[in-house]
Amino acid sequence: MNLNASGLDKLLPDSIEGWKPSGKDRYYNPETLYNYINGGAELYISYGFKEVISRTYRNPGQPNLTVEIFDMVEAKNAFGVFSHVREDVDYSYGQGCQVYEDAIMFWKNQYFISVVSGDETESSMSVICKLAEDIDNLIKGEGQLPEILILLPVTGLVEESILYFFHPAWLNSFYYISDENILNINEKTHCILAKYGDPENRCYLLIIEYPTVADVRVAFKSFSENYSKEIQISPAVEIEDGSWMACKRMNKILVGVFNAGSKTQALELMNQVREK
Amino acid sequence: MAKKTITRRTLLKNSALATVAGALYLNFPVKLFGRNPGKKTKVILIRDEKVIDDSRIVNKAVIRDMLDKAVRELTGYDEIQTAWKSLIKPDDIVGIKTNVWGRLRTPLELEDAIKNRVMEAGVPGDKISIRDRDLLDDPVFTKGTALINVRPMRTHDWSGVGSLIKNYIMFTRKPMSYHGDTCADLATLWNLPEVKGKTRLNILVMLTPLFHGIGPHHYNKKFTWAYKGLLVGFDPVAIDSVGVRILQARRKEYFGEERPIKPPVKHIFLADTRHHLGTADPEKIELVKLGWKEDILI
Repeated sequence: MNLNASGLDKLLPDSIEGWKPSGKDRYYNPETLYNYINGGAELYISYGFKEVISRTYRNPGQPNLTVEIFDMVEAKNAFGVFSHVREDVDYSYGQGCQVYEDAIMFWKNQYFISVVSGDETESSMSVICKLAEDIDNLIKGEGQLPEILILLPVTGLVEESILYFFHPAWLNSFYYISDENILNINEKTHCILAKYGDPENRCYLLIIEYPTVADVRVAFKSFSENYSKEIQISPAVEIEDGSWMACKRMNKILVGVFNAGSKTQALELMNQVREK
Repeated sequence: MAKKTITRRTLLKNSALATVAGALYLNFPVKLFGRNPGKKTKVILIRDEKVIDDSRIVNKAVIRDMLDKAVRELTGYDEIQTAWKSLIKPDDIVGIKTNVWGRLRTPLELEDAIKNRVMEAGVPGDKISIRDRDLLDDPVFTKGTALINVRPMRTHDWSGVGSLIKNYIMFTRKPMSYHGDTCADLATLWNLPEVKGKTRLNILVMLTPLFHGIGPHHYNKKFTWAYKGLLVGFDPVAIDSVGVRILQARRKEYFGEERPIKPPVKHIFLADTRHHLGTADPEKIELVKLGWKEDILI
C-alpha cells in the first residue's frame, strides 16, 4: 500500500445512503497491485496502469460495497481495460458501462471504475447504481477514444465486441490465431479486434497500427511466414477449415479478416477499412 | 528448447497437434478419449446431483462419497482404506495444497474428507498440513514426503485458467517470476525441490467452476454454474486439460459461439509438449465418468 498523492479519493463520495467507508482506503501501484489482485494485475499493467484506490463501504445488515478506481493515465487505456468487460452497449454511466445485478463497471476519461456489491439485495442493487452515478459526476471531463477506432466499418459491426489493446496476450480474445506474437504487437502499436455479423455468420476484423511503414512490412512478413504464405500472392485465402481470411497493408496499418464465409465476404470487409 | 509457433493453421494441418491442442485453443469438440491402445493416464470425472444444494452449500457426506468412489476407481481397490494406503504410507508427512481464493475456494468439507482419509492411512494429525499460502514457512511442505494437490477450476486473467499445474505457484517466494509469456512455463514449478516427485493425488474441484471472469477480481457468480463434479487423477496435465475442455464447452453453450479462453491456456499445452509433466492428448487419457450424467458437456 502507499499513501495517496494522486487525489483518487476525491473521486469517491464520503457516504452513500447509509453506507459509510470502512477501514482505510488502500492504494496500489504496478509494483504492489499483485498483492491486491494477484495475477489479475497483469491485465491492468498491460494497459499502462498507474495507481488504484480501493474503498469498502459498509452498512450494518447490508452487503459491503467495494469500489476501485484505476488511473490508467490515458483515456484510451481506460477504454482498453473496459473493453475486456463489455458485453452490452450501455452508456448509462461514464463513457460506457457494463451493468450486472451486483456490479457496475465503467470508464470515463483516464479512469476505469468497478463497483461491486458483496451480495444482491434490493437496497444494495439500488445503491451501486447511485454510487456509480456519483463517481461519474465527480470525474470531470471525458477522454478520447483510441483514434484507430475510426477505421472500423460500421455495417455489421458488433459494437460491444470492440477490443482495444497493445499487448499480444489479447490477440486471441475472440478467435485463436497464434500462441506467439507473429504480428509484432507491442506498446508502440494500437490494435483493435471486433466481431462482425451474426453468431452463425461471424467474422473477425483485426486492425493494427504500427509506428512506421517499415514496421508494417516486417509484421506482414512475419504473419505471412507463420500463418499464410499465400497472402503474399493473393489478399484472400481459404484455410483448412473452409473459412476465408484476408490481409492487406495500408501505409502504417495492417488489416486482417478471419473466419469469413466466402472470399467475397472477406474482401468486402477488408476493403471497407480505408484510411481517413 | 526452441519455441515452436502454434497457429490456428498449424493445428488445422497437423491432426496430432489438433488432437492435443484443438480443444484447448480452438474449442474443438472432443470425441476421442483413450480409444487407441497403449498406455493411458486415467482421469476420473465424478458428479453427484446432491453434492451442493440450491444455496451451494456442500453436502459433507456426498462429497466424501464422491472422493471415495473416485479414489477407488483410480487405484483399482474396492476397499477405500486399502485404496488410500496405496497412495499414502503411515510414515509420510503430507501437505495438502489447497486453494483459498475468497470467491471460489476448495470446500472445507473436501479438505476434511482428504485429511480424514490420510489419517486413516496411518499418518498422525501433526504430520499433515492443509495450506494455500506461506508454504515455505511450513516444514510439512518444505520437508514433507507427500503432496495432495486440490483446487477449484476457474478462468484466470493471465494464465487462462487457474489450474492444478498453477496451484503450486505458492512454492516460490517470487510467483511473478512465472508470469512471463502468460505463464507459459508454470510446469517448471513441479521441478522445485519441495515439489518434485511428491504429488500422490490431484483433485480439480468442478462443483461450481468459473467459466468467465470480469473486473478486477475476475469474478461474478453469474459466470459460474453448478456442474457438481470432481476430476481426480495422478496426471495434473491430463486433469487440467479435461477441465479446460469442460469450461470451453460451457463457454460455447453460454455465449452461443466460439469464445476461446483468453489468454490461451498455453501453460497446459506446454506442460505436455515442452516440459513433459503429463499429457494433454485426449487419445492418451482414459476418461472414466461416474455418477450423474446430465449436462456433462464432455
